[in-house]
Amino acid sequence: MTKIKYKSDQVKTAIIALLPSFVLLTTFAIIPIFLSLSSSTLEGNNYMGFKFVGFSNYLKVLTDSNFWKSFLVGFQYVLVIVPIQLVLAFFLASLIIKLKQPLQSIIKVCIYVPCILSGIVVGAIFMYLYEYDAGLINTLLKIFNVDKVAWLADPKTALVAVGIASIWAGLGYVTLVMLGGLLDIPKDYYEAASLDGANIWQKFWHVTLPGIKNVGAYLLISCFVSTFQIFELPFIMTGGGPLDSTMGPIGYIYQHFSYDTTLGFTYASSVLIALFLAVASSLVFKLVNSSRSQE
Amino acid sequence: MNKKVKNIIFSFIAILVIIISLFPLFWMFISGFKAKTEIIATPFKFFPDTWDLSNYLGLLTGKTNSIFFPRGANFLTSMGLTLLISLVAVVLSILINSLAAYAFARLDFPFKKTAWLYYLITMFIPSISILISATQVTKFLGLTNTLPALILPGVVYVWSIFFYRQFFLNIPRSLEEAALIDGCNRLQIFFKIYVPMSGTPFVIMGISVFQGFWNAFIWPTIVMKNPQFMQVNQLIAYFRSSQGIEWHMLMASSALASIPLIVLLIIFQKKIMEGIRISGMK
Amino acid sequence: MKKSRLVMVGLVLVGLSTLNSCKNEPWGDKTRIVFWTPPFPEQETRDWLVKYTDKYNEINTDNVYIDLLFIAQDAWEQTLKTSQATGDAPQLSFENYADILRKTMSGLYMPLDDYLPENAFADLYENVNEMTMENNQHYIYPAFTEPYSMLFYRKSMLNAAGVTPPTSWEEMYQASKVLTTKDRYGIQLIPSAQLGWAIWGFQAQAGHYLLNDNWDAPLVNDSFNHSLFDVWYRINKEEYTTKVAQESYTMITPLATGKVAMQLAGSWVIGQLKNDYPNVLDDIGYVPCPTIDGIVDGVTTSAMGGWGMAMDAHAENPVEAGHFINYLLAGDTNIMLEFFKSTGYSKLSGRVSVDEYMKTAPESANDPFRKFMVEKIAPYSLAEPIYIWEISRDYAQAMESTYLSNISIDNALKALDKKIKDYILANELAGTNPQK
Repeated sequence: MTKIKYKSDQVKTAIIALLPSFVLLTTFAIIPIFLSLSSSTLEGNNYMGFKFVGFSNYLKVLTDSNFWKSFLVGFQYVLVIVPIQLVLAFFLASLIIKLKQPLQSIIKVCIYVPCILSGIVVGAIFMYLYEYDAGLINTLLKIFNVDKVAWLADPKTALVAVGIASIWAGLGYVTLVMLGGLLDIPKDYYEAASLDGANIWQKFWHVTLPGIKNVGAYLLISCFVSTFQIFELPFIMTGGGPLDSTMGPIGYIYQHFSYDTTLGFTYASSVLIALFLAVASSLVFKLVNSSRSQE
Repeated sequence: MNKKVKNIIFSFIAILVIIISLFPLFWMFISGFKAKTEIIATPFKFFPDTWDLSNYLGLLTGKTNSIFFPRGANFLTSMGLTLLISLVAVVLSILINSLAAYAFARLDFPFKKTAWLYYLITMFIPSISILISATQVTKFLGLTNTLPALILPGVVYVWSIFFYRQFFLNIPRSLEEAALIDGCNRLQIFFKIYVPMSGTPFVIMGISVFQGFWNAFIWPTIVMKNPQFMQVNQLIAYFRSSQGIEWHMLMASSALASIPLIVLLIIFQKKIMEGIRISGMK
Repeated sequence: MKKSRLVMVGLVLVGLSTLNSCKNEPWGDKTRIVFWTPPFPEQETRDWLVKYTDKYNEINTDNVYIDLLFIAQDAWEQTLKTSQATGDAPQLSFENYADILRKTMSGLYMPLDDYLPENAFADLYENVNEMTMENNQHYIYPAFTEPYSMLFYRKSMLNAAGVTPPTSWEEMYQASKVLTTKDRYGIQLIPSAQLGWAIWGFQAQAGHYLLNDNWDAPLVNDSFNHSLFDVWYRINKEEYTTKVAQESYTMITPLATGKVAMQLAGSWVIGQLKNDYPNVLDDIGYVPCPTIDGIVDGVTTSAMGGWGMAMDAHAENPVEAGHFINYLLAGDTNIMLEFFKSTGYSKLSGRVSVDEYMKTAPESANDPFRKFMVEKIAPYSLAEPIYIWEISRDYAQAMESTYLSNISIDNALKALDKKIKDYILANELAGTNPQK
């Protein structure tokens, strides 16, 4: 068996180069996840002492209908936000390609402005827009003789209302990434297709769509993961209500963290979310990869 | 269809999109000028009757008339502090992450694959799962309620290590080999060759890190109780309490907090656009 | 390049850490006792706390410094819990009774019996004394109690519409209907954000809350709750109440500004009216909260809550902390009297000595609202429940689901009943009621 010889100066340098990030990562990511895992099997606090209860906290979480409801809400957020963002981004990106300067540069910056704002600020703006009596949206509705809508207080509309805020805040980034993907498709492909007599739809189907598959896949995964974990927007706009219709999984965990008198339940639910996201992202990743390899 | 007509239609739609993107922000800024009695009063007024500076001034001078604003906190100081923290975080982040990226891109060492996996895995841990235990670690290190506690946990940004590594892989090895012959050690090569060339990725990632720290909310909320050290977004959230919402302060403080980010965007727009384009390519 | 950058980073870090130690440390070498309190909406209460904490810091002979810190109500539980988990909980905290007793079950608080003089507890009215105890030990020293379900109304509006103040739920519905006009709602019920706990005021009228004494069965699916859900549903569905409340249950603003003709609220609002809306005060009337059958003397119409001080179970200086509690709340009656005066006599004292004084002093004795509270409401009010928060949240959601999601009342109550049974099983609540 041949032993790989490592040049000692490289190894020494690597240790120095990796040390700070390694230490920080271990301290603030790896150790905490193990702490969460172990704490999730305990009940109690450091006043009464801790008792090992095995999976009992997990059982409590899994038998809580509100836990499953929060998952459902998480998926609802994804369904409301992600497809719309992807489709709108595609059309916007296609539009931007066709624009002339300086409009093209201006629009790129303008659509990105919402993306740099914090969730709290976006939530505050939209909360004000949606305000029942004096918000801009209801005022506009009044002008058109439509009844005021309790956007954030009606369980039928609250999720969509939060979703719209989220789409507004994220669309710029998704569009710009999509734009990058579209620009990467070599123009010759389109020319070749034209020569072959393809129409617009065929060009889209056979040139554009395959061309943006990578970018689309990246966006799908990252949007799914981040949308599922949406927290700051509903936290400030609705606090999870009404009737928990905007309470996603992270909101659920935070609520238990706030009100439970001990932490075992909170830890267990946070571990379950981590598990779910890990499994879900690798599933989506596999799905996307397999469809990529089919080409 | 006529090319010119098409152009006009596209430009029109583009302008519509720009308005939709910017209007809510504009609305937030104007609303900050409305007095408490005006802001949710009916009948509705688009522009404030009187352009009341007291909300903005109150935040900047520390004399807010707010019921909910924490005693001992000062919004202007908080902006300054959040700025300082974000800048320090950016410097540390660039330094520490690029060093790691260099190791993975150009150095050979045992367990390299395992180490890479170790780093990668942390990208898949949702922050909520480590939030509370991280406070325990913070306490263990004696950092509760201190400024380092606000900075250190967020410094390592594995995505940026990815990004830098990709960039470093594209730097020709010949430069390195020449320097080695000249007698430089690997670390000197990093600082003398790789770093000066990395202006673009550093700026791109730096801005992303800055944004993350400036906009931080959950972590400061659970780890910083001292009102003198609270971060801006943490303070803004106080205006929206279950006991009532102070809309005028909410709008004014949100507006103030957004200004630095908008300024950054305008200054660095080219690099930011470039960064987004690259990030999608992986 | 490398050196200068590292130096810069180093300097900044050094700068940061000196910022830390630059903190104001007014306690010097005295023993520091941290005391957390929420920022009460009444400025007067905040001022009173600051005044007497400062005073104690000057005059105490234990060489302690009480470090008063206001923590936002919304961040209260998370902040407290995190500090308890990391071992830096404040030694003293100002909280409401139900929260303290609920958390005492997890061992978080210190029994006060060894740290306060005997006469401090002997000075309490019996029902208040009970509200501070669990397993026969005292965990709270009460500052004030307040019943929080009463009906306030605008006399002029009711007169103009020819309506008498309602005494039963049905009358409340009828009155709300008549009083709703184009410009105002007939009544403000309880806003969604506070419904979970404020509805205890109505539940109290049944003589019990949602769990039986042994905590092994729910008491929800009955005609009392059915009727309550029904009247709530009708008032909301037919829009005689604000659809989206702009103010919290704790604020009397909607009634004071004429947006509603009647408002359910707690006794503390009288203090707000006196201090912030004195012009409207004469037009405000109040009656006990309507009950299912109407008001008869001796009938429970409200729940009773209150606020007091508790000591952390791991307090390092329990003796000295106890001295402060004694000074502020259980000692010189003038300190408490000043508090009650500044809040417009809208709160009640659990201490016999303080209460006796207020009964006889001309200023307070003839205060009509105080009389009303003391004679008609407080004696019959029920102390708040201390079971897990999910039960109260689910009750509120069940109520709202009838008009927000069109779930029938029968189904809502059935589902709630089942849900509570599930909680009892999952959390093994049976037999764990510490007050029985």
